[in-house]
Formats: sequence, C-alpha cells, structure tokens
Amino acid sequence: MNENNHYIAGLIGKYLDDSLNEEEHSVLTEWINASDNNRDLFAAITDRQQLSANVKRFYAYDTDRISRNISAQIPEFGLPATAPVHRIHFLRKWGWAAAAAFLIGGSVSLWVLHKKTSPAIIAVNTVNIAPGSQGAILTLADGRQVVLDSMTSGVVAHQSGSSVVLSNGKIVYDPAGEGATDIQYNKMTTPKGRQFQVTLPDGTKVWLNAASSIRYPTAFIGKERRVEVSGEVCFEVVKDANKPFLVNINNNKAAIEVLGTLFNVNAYENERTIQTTLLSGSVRVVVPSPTHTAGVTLKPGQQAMISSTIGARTPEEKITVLNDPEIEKIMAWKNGLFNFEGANLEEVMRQLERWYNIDVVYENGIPNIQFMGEMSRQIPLTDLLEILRRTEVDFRVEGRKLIVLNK
Amino acid sequence: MSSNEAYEEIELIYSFQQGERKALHQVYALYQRPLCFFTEQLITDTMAAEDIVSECFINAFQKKEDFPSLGQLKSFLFTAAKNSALNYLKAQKRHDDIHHSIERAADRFSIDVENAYIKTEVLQLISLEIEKLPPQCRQVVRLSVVDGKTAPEIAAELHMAYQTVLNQKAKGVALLRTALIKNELLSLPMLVYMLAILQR
Repeated sequence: MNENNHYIAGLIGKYLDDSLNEEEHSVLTEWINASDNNRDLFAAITDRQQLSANVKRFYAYDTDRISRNISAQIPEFGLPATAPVHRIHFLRKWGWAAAAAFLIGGSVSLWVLHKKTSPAIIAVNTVNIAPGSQGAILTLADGRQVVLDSMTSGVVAHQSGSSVVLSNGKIVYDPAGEGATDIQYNKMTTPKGRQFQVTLPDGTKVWLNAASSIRYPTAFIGKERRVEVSGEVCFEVVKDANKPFLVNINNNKAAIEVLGTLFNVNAYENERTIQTTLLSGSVRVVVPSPTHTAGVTLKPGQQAMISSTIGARTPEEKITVLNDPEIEKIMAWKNGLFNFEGANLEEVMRQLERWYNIDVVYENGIPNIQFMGEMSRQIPLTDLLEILRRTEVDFRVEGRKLIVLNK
Repeated sequence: MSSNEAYEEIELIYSFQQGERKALHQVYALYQRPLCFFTEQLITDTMAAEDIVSECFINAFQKKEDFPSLGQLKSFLFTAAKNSALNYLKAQKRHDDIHHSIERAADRFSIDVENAYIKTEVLQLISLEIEKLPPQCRQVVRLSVVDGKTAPEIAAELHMAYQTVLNQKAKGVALLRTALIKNELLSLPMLVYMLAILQR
C-alpha cells in the first residue's frame, strides 16, 4: 500500500491505453518480470471479463448501510447522504438574510440599456451556487501550503526571521526576529471564488481579488521592494523614499514603480488590457520590450491601459492613459460589490466566472446587452441570475456550468 | 493538479479536521467503494467487508485532528482495513480449522494486500472517469456498463425517450473518445470496453 504500488497501478492503466513512454515501459516490464505474482496480477487486472466483473462489484456495495452504521456512532456525520458527492467544491454559504435583504430593496439598481435580441425563456433547475468568500492559499518558502480563511486566527507559520499571523481574515508579517539574512519568497494565491487581504513585511496593504496571486519576500532586504502579481490586486503602499516599491505584472509583461500610494491593478489574462488605476500618490507604469522600455507616470485619478495583444507594435503604442476612469466601478470589488455600469454581458459573465467559480458557455451567440447599476457580491448565484433574468436574458445551470441562452 | 484542485484538497482536509459534515461526507464518498473492494478482496465476504469499512470510517472520524493531509488519512483508512481483515481471517481460521501454518498464511496475506491495493487503485481510476461524465450521460453509462441494462430498460427506468438514451450513450462515447484523444485523463481498458458496449 505504498507510493510505488500507486505508481504501478498508474502504469498498468497507461499500458492498456498504449500511452507508456519508453522509460515507463521498461519500469513496468521490470516490475512484471520481477515475480510470478506480478505477472499473474497483471494478467488478472487486464483481463476484460474480470475487469468488467470488478467494476460491477465496485458499484454494488450497500453504501447506505455503511453510512447508517457510521451515523450511529458519529453524530456529526448526520443522516446518510443519498447521493455521493464526487467533486470537491464547497464555498462557504452566506445567510439567506443577505440575499433577502438584497431582494427586498436597498440601493441596488439594474437596468437594460438596450437589447437587440430576444433570448429564449427556458425552465431552469435550481442549483444554488454560493458566492465567493474570504480565503487563500499561502505557499511558504519551503513549499509548504497553508489554507487561510476568515475563521482561523493566530500564528500560521514561522519562517526564518518572521512569523506569519492571521487575524480577522487578514495576514500580517511580523518581523519579530533579527537575522533574516537570506531572501525567502512566499506566494499568496486566491482561487476562483475567494478574495483575501495581506499586509506585507513593510506594512504595505494588498487586496487580492478572486483568481489572483502575489509573490513577495518575507523581508524586504536590499535597495528595492519587489513583488510579482497576476489577476486583480489593489495596493496601499507604505512610503519609503529609500526603497522604491516595484510591481512586476504577469511575468514581466508590464511593471509598476511606486512611491507610497494607493492603486489597483487588473491584469487578468482573459481581459483585453492590463489596467493600472491610481487613486493617490504616484506610480510609473513601464512596458518592457527587447529593444527599449516605455513608461508613463500617472497622476491620481488616471488609469494606464496596456493592450495585451501581440503585434509588431512598439511599447509606446501599447500604453494608453485615461484621464477619467470610473474609479467607483474599478474599486467596487474591494468594497464587496459588483459594478456593472456600462458593462456588456461578456464582461459581466467573466466577473461571475471568477467569483462563483463557474464556467460560462453561450449556447447560440452572445446576447448584445448592456448593464447599469451595482449589487452585492455576497448573494448566491441563483438570486443574482434571477435579477439578471429581468433584463430578458436567460440561463441554465448544469453543475458548475452556466449556459447563457440566446434565441 | 490545478491550483483549484490543490486548494480544494487542502481545504477538504482542513474542514475535515474541523468536523464539518460536508467534508466528512466527501471523504466518505471518495473512499467508501475503494475500501469495500479492497477489503472484500482480502476476506471474500461482502457483508463483513462493509462492516469493516464502517468501523474504519468511525475510527478515522473519531480522531479527525490526526490527519494533516488527505494522503495520511487515506493511508490510515487502508491500514485499518487491512488490520481488521487480518483479524477477521484469524478468527475464521480458528473456526474452519484450516491446515496452513499461521506463518505461511501471514506471508501470503501481505502479498494479497499489495495485490488488492493495486487492483483497487486501478478500479478507482476507472470509477473516477465515469464520475467525470455529465450527470445524465453518467447515469446512462452506469446503467449500461455497471448494471448491464439495455437501452429500452434504461429508457423505462429513467423515464426517458428511447432516442434520448441513444443520444446520451453517443454523447458518452464522444466524451470518452475526446478524453482518450486529448490524453487528459488516464484512459483505461474499461473505457475501451465501455465504448464497445455502448456502441452495440
């Protein structure tokens, strides 16, 4: 019952699929020839009739009886689950109160600006997909991974020279010890359906939207403070004139040089542009290329858009500066809101994909609909769809797939 | 493993330690059949195997905090099943007055354990492939392959039109093919076998 047997089982599968590479083939052959037992076992497993009988047996156990036995002894196991759950998905459920409050009213509004099509109305099965919540994975320098959520608090890990403390759903680095000499990197990753806040060792605050990451050293040693990000990240950088703060985006597609400031970076790979929006202070956005580097310095309230399209364009041409970006819309996620002001259906769906951990499919074409208004990010998907449906688009949910219907 | 899967696995064991019902059920759903199959291979008694598996889960659930990873939990469950199977066999031997010496039987037993484990792993891979199919398609495939039902029988049981059953079978075939071609999944002889049955 060891790793090697697990490996051999995998090889047997690959053998039957005819997908063994040369090395795997010789490992398996060696294993088969090692003993009569192995040879017989291999023959038994790969025999179609036996395999067919084994699959039937595998599915024939009285699992209801077993779960009744368990619940008799383990009260928290509760009543037997009627249908086994096979995929591991569980987002924390938000109370119905939030949804009800939202449905009853409040400051929420949503309109259709215009529509050119009339999508079909089809009955929908009521699968309740919960909204995202606080959480992330912290990968330590030694490769250990720690799950973080708002429920736990206290010291999460010790690393050379600093301890990692979780409090109120935020992670903070406490550089208590001296002697942090070698640079160690940590990485904070949020999957779809999670957002998180981290305070870096220099006190800089970082908010991660869903499906995002930041890699940073556990102590900022040297002349610069360097971090790497992907997805959507908001920064409140602590001023330190002697140590510029540098943000590298999506593997050096762009970079930001910071001097004490509050700004938001949206660099999702499936969005058309990388957007850096400055709220206060000063940043310089830089686009590197093999020949030279182009850059632009932003004033508060400005946004730099870097087009991600690959072409023969110069770095200068890739940067556009907007003087009046919609700050409220850009920062909505950080305030727990969706802001669909002027967004088309596709933009809205990409946000839902990341927050509800779903995949969106368009059954026949993409309805041309524009939205206005904002709403809470803390309602279950069903309720949100119920509201979107008033705009005369319709949906069907299959597992974690959201199918958009257009007629 | 994608980062979402890694996250889910870490979060599963974390929620398991907290005793969250959903996590207990997921662990149960993940290992119930493999453990039953593994144990039954060793003792060749289905009901007794199911009882042993019940006990294994009860023991694991009583010390939830002891498992820092899903791997360690799995290892505990299988080791517990193996030990119970051995005790069961010892008790049986006293009853049946079997002539083999205990020592030789113990040697044989450790080989049986390794064999049963490899077999179980292969079967779990197959069942995971079946569970990956979309719900309606999976149901049709299960009834067809696992229960050996014909298309008209499946149609009656699922209140489906005969044509829908054929469509779902065709969809299952197509999905399994795609999986084979893309080589995303570990494809197995059972899948080939299923293709053959489904196309009949």
